[in-house]
Amino acid sequence: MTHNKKCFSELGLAPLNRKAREMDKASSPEALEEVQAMQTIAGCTSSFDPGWEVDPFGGIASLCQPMEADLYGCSDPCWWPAQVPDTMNTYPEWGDGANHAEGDWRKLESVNPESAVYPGGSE
Amino acid sequence: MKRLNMTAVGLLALSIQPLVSDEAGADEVREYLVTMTKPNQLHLIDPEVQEIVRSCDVNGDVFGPGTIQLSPDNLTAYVIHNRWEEVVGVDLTNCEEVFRAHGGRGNIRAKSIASLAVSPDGSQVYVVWDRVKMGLDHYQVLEPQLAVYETDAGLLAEPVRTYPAPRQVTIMDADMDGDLYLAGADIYRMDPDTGDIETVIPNRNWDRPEFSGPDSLAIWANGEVTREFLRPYTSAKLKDGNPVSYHWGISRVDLDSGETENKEIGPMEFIVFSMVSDPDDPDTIYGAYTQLSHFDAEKNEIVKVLDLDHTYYSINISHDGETIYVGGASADIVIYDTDFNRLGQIRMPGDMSTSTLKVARF
Repeated sequence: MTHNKKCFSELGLAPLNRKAREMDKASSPEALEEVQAMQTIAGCTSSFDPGWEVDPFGGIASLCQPMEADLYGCSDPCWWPAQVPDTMNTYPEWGDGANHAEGDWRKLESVNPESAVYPGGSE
Repeated sequence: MKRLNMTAVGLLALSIQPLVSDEAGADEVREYLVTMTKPNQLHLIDPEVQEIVRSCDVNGDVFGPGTIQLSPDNLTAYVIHNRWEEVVGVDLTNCEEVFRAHGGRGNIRAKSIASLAVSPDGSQVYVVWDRVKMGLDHYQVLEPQLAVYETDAGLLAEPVRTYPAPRQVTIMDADMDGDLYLAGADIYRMDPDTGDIETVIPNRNWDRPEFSGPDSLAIWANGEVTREFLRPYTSAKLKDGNPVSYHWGISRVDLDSGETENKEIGPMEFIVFSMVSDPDDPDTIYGAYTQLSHFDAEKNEIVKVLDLDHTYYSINISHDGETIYVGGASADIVIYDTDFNRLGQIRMPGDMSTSTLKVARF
């Protein structure tokens, strides 16, 4: 939202995984200009959105309501790459038989690497 | 030659007429909604009687993303489907599949992030494919491509031309002159005959030191009624480099004239995922998300806000400007008048997720 020139650590953001740490190391104030959070993106690994823990106002009132209404809208474009399976590429069958998340959410199960479909069709 | 073309158009109109008459009564033009639901259904909906008229199963095993653009006669819906990897044209009068293009080739995977448009004469479909070469031990991100297809190319359509396209492009639309608008980091205009491209609305690269860089989400191109290509943004007004107030704004292209504008329309007090203007007043703008909202862009203020039952993504408006349609996300479409009195609700058989809610008229 803001035109920030600070490093992540200066913003109080701590990287939680290897990719985030590499990104933090690579970031200079100038390079941060190239990162536009939530700027017209969708698709796995391109999203900088960590999930909807809080809304842009620092609260929860503007989160999607209920979360089930938003579930496929966020999993289909990999908007929540860590929170729900990637149906765009790796787990395309995750929502099969659960066409209405608000009513069918009990059918949505956890996934594991053994059930992943990898590009090219190999599993 | 011109006379032959007119004859062909006349014959086509005659051949279509019985289908339209069966549906809506002779000489009656009706307004429909068009959207997709999981897993693979494209729906034609009559908002007046609030019923689904026809549901078409679109071949392809996986939903995604349900981006829709209509042919100029509104009789054909083009949808991005099947893991964002195919564009399918469906005749809305009979569910017949009339067009299909797959973006990938060999070990190149291609997905389109809602980047779909139709030429003003209906003869061409445009898609931006984001391409990745899938190696055995590595992936190579390739340059995105704008692919031009002839709409009569059938079910194994191949592009007749391709051009390099900018990265991060989502929604697209075409104006009456055939120029193509692409919403990416900035909004670009491309000549689909030559591939020449220029920035017409700078967003990421705007020169507005009194405002922060804008933040945009653009998955729904809903400007077929209002003849606009509109992308909402939020931005902070700055003083001495610090934000002092937050605003909603719009980047907009008039699809009849090609004129562009970029301006703030009201304070940012809630989230909006998609916006549409009143077809008779471009400064009256409605937005949808967990609230239905009304902005007066001329006064730069919020006129009205209504909490909705749940989050919706995609908003649209009737041709007479009197009825607002709100869909996307979950499995119902709600209908309001412009004072936000609720007129009805249409239950859908599955979630619409990121699908576009389009308004057709035929």
